[in-house]
This record gives sequence, structure tokens and C-alpha cells, in this order.
Amino acid sequence: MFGIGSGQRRPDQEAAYVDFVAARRARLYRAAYLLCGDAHRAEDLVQVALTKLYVAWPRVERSSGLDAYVRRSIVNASIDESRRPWRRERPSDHATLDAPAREGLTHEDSDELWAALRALAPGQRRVVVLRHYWGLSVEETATDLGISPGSVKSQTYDALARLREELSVTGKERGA
Amino acid sequence: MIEIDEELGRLADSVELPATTPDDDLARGRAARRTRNLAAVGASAVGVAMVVTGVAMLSGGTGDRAVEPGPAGGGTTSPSPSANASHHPRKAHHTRTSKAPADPFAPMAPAGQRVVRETLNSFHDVLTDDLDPGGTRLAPFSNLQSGGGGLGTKFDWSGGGMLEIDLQPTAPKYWSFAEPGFPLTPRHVAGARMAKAGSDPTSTTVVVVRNDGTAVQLTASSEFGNNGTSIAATGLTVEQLLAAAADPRLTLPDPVPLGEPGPGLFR
Repeated sequence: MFGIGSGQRRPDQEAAYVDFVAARRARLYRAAYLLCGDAHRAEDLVQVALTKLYVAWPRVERSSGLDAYVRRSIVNASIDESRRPWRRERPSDHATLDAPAREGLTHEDSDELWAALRALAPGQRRVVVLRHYWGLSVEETATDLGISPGSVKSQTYDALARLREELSVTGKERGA
Repeated sequence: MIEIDEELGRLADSVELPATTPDDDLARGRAARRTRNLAAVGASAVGVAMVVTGVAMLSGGTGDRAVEPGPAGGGTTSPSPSANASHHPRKAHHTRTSKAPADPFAPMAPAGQRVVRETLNSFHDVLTDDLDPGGTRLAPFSNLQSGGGGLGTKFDWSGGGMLEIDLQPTAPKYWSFAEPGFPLTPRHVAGARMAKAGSDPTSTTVVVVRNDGTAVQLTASSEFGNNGTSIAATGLTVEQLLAAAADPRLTLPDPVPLGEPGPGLFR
């Protein structure tokens, strides 16, 4: 039943995988969306990462690095994707951009933050998402991205400065 | 920076989730594992067939014809009864044809692996000629990045980052570069109907649509690979990258093989 033809893993492994996906998928998708700004690409990134995780499950589970494995899969895939200009040009017509903001974030705030986030260079956006959405340390972020801790610090500094600037400008424009 | 953390969290929470369940991911995982296993079995069967053929030839061709293998890579489509797709009728994509829709996890045939390997090696040779004549910095190809009908890969750039190439048979229809992270501005390149280039402190990207219609993207980045600190660390200029992207020796096979090449790509 668990042979080559079925592709299935042992029931206990499948149950653990399903539990992991059920617990993490929403956050993974949202992080992917913050990284790429596109609903379809975000779903692609998550699907690919979770499929790879299933294939590699026993090895990754033994290493106790499930979260890191999936996170790096998503980030690496987004890096590969973002370097291709012809993949970047999908229209940003996702309904979320036009949808009412949820509680705690006004529509204007949401638009401004999206615009500011999208204005960041891809590397800066990755650092911001890893550090300030996923809550990673400088060292963990450096390991995930394959860059030095110093680069993480400088990119974080630059990104936050640019975010503040963008948000300040749009805030002034709104107030004018 | 608590504010940023909180605002990002609220922004992320405002993103609507797609309608999918863990069972969908489970099905994709099973399908990927199944096709990967079948690819491994198929490769093993081809290897066994080649050994059997060799033994038969060495023994004067008098071997048992009942075990005579079919064409290399063309037989062994049913390596085991359990491989029958009837257990998962929706995911029977391990027996594909050239007209089958692209499945990123379907195994690539050995012949396709060879074609891709030769193509990526040819990219390496051309880029070495154009960008690394001393042959000291550009490492062999490291992966396959396919999609959109084209082929691409990444090369480690010794001493300062990486070089990525992507060839597409035709220029994409959308070509506005609205969100590359940095602006790409038009450039003039001989032999190209269109060219653009742009940089940020760690990366330079050029895109060229040659007169034959082939679209070539090259990105040199010091941000990944060896922890470079600036694009100057790669020693590559926009002009060099544009000229390399326009090199007519960079070509795609016809047709471009589809599927997941697996480790066989590197053999």
C-alpha cells in the first residue's frame, strides 16, 4: 500500500504531515504573499514548498527543522522567481488589494503599507518579512538568505528607513 | 520596531486565504513522491537493460531474447503492477506525452536530461567566453530553472556571488517591468530588437530580445552565493552582460524537454 506506485508514506507520517500543514499553511501563505505580492504566485510558492516537504518528510522531521525547511523553500523559490522580469509582471489585480481592510487596519493604512512594501527592493522586502513577520533573528535571517549578518542588518536598516519614508510621504499626501 | 511587526501582522491577516485543504497538499505530495519513485525505478530499469544488452553483445548476441530490452529510455513504462494509476486516477501523470500539460514534478526522460544538460553546459561555455575568458570564476551550472517554455540556471561566480541566465523562446507578452525591484531602462544592443538593463547595489539585470525572437535574461548578483557586498565584487558591467545576453550562440533546444530532471541532470 505504501509502495512505489502509491506515493504514500506511512500513516503516522501522513498524519503528522497533515497536522503540520493544517497548523502552518495560513501563515506560510500570508508570508509568501508578503514576499511576492501576488495571490497566485504565493499559492504556487506554498504548494511547491509543501510538496517538497512531503517528499523529504522523514529526513526533515528527523532534523527537527520543519519550519525552517518550508520557510527556506518559499524564500528560495521567491528569489528564483523574482529575478525573472517576465514573471514579475503579472498584474496585481488580486481582490485583496481592493477588499475592505480587516479590523485594526484601515483601508488607507493597508494600501499605504502595501505600496511601501512593494516599493522595497526584493532583498529588502525579504529581510523585512523574515525579521518582522516571521520574527527571525539577524543570524537566522542571514542563514536563510545565505548572506552575512552584517548584510541583514544593513538591509534591515535601509528597508525600515525606506518604509518610514514611503509611509510618511503617503501620509502627508493623504493629509494635504 | 514593534510597530512594523504589528502592522505587517495586521496586513498579512487581511490577506484572504485560498480555498484549499491539507488533503490537497497531501495529494500533491503523494503524486510528487510517486512520480519521483517511478523515475528512479525507470532509470534503474534502463540501467539494468543496458547491462543486459552489454552482456548479450559480449556473449555473441546469443542471449535470451525474452529479456532483450526495448529502446533505451523508451521501454519500462510499467515498472511494477503497483504503478498502475488506477489508485489515483486524477494524478496519472507519470506517463506523459509531449503534448501533456507541463507538470513540474513529472519525471524527465533520460534523453531530455541529456539535452538539458548539454544546453546548460553550452550556456556555461558561451558565458565563460564572454564574461570569464580566464575561466576562473564561472562555476558549472547548479540547477535547472525551467518554465514558460524556456530554460535557465544559476552559476556560482567565484569570489563574489552568482550569475543567473534564463532563455525564453519568445518575449513575454507583458513587458512593462513594473516591479523588478529596480527600474530597467532601454539600451541599444547590436543584434537585438529590444534591450533593457538596471541595477541596485547588489544586482544587475539585463534583458535582451534578439532579432530571432529569443528573450535572454542575465542577472549578476553579489547578494547570494558568496556573501559579496556590492555588484562591483562580480567585476561584471552592464555592457558586458548585455553583450553576453545578445550572443547568438545562446540557443534553446527544440523542443525544450519538460518535467523534473532529478539528479540525473548532473550525471
